[in-house]
Amino acid sequence: MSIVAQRRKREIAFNLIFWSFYFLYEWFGLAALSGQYSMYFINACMALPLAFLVSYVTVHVFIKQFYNKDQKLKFWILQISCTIVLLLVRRVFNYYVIYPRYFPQAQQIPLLSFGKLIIELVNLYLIVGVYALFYFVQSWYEERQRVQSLLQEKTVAELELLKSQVQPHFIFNSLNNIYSRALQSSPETATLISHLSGFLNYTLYDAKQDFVSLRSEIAYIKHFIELQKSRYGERLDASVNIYDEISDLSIAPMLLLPLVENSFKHGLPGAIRQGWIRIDVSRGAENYSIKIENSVEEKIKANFQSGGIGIDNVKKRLELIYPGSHEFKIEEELHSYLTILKIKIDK
Amino acid sequence: MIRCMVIDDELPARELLKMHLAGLDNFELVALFDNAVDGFNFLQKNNIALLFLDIHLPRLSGLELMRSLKQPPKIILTTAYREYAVEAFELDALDYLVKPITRERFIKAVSKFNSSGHFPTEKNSPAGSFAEAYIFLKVGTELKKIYLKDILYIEGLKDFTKVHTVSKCFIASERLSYMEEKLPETRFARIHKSYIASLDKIDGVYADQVSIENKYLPIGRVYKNQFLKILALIKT
Repeated sequence: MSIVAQRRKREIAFNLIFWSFYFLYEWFGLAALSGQYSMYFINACMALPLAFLVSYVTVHVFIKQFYNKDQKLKFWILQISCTIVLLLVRRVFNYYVIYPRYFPQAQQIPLLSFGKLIIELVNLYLIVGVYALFYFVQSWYEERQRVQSLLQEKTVAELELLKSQVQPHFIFNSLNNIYSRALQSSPETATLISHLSGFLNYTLYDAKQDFVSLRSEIAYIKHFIELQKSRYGERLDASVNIYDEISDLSIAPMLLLPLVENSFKHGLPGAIRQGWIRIDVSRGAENYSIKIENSVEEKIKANFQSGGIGIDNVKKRLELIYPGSHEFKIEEELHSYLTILKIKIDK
Repeated sequence: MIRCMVIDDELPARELLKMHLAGLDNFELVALFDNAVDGFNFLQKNNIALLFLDIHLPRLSGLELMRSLKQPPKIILTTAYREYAVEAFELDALDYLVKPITRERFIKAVSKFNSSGHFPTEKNSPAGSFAEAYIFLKVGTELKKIYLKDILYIEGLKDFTKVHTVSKCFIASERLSYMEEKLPETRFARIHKSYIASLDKIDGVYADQVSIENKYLPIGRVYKNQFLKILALIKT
């Protein structure tokens, strides 16, 4: 079913329900006070058509056609004249056709009694107001959704633009040339370039897949660590240990990097002497585990405990990708901080 | 000598391959070209065993060259593009190198040429990792580096632990439960409220004890099942 048809169906359902309730209210709500059910049935029959007509015309014709199209004067003229005419028509119809038959006493009030007309007007517009409210809420909600999806589309478009501007082959060709030059003049720089390339390669290609091999994820982390080492120099000791065979395992990309980044961000800058980070990968019968442990200086511990947005994101992603089949915990000691991620092995 | 040839339109890229090849004994670089047409002509008249070929080249692309050669040499593609790998291997490429081409990756590719085994292919052996793995422990005010392979067992003492290694023992400020979490579970096991044992170092397992270097440690009832399970897993 198309969205338009669905919408139409929903609208019809709403109208049926709304007007049935209104009818029942006019009938039973008032009749319950006096006990005159047949009398108020007639009353409800008289109230419904006008309320429906005015509400419908107001919302679907006057507001949509004139008010929303900036023809405010036309809107008010039509709205007011239509209301007055319809109210008078009903009053006349009631006075000469309904009242003599069912409510003779009502004829004591003159036909054009100002008070009576005001009461009827207010009663009428209470209903029109409630009816219109539904459509206001609906259109407000739709508008909000539209803005949101527009924003989303805009972000996607921007990202695509960025990607098309940054041509990966241009970057890798350039890196190859720089690597070539560096190999002659400064082998250390060459090594750094190769790590940077490995890091970029992963970010541009592998990170887009749903799952990557655990091995390439670890290789990526190693590139990251090597690049970080060049910043910290001798002060940093970093090691990655793989204790068991992991070549058949896979993992969702970009889960480990935020954890390692976090270790670097919070565990090391304050270290005056030696800082260290250790990443361990091992495999049990049911799951494999990745442990990231880093040194913590006591004085900066307070800032570290929060974990940050990166960790929250990882937790959220784990819940989405590995519901019920992962374990994530953080353990702390006086001088060290340990993050453990265990993921069930698919068999 | 294995006669090699390089086709790449960028000078530094050609130089890089030249440098990589210069480091190898059995390979001789015979010719370098910046386009595939000249390379094609040269190949018609000369005997080349191994060709390093870029893909994006002026006039004739590397893949087009591969298709036009009737008796192609072994070809290793060198490119900044990832997307032609499948096509390249369909054309019988020996290897597909994505730029930047590091020395290690280059050697791995070349080693495919003579699979007789001049270059042992490196493999990441997990066992090696354990022999090299170490942890840092705060012992007093000092930071001590301790190799995992040296640890015999760890004893819990209220808020700190005593790490027994082959040569010495250290008092560390970490709790035993924390130690249990951080050590690899396939190498170490909690056997008792107060003990973690290195599985490698266990000489004998008895009903309620294990022996490590002539020292007997109790097995706690709570830990027994889990411990035996790990032992069984390790042995298989």
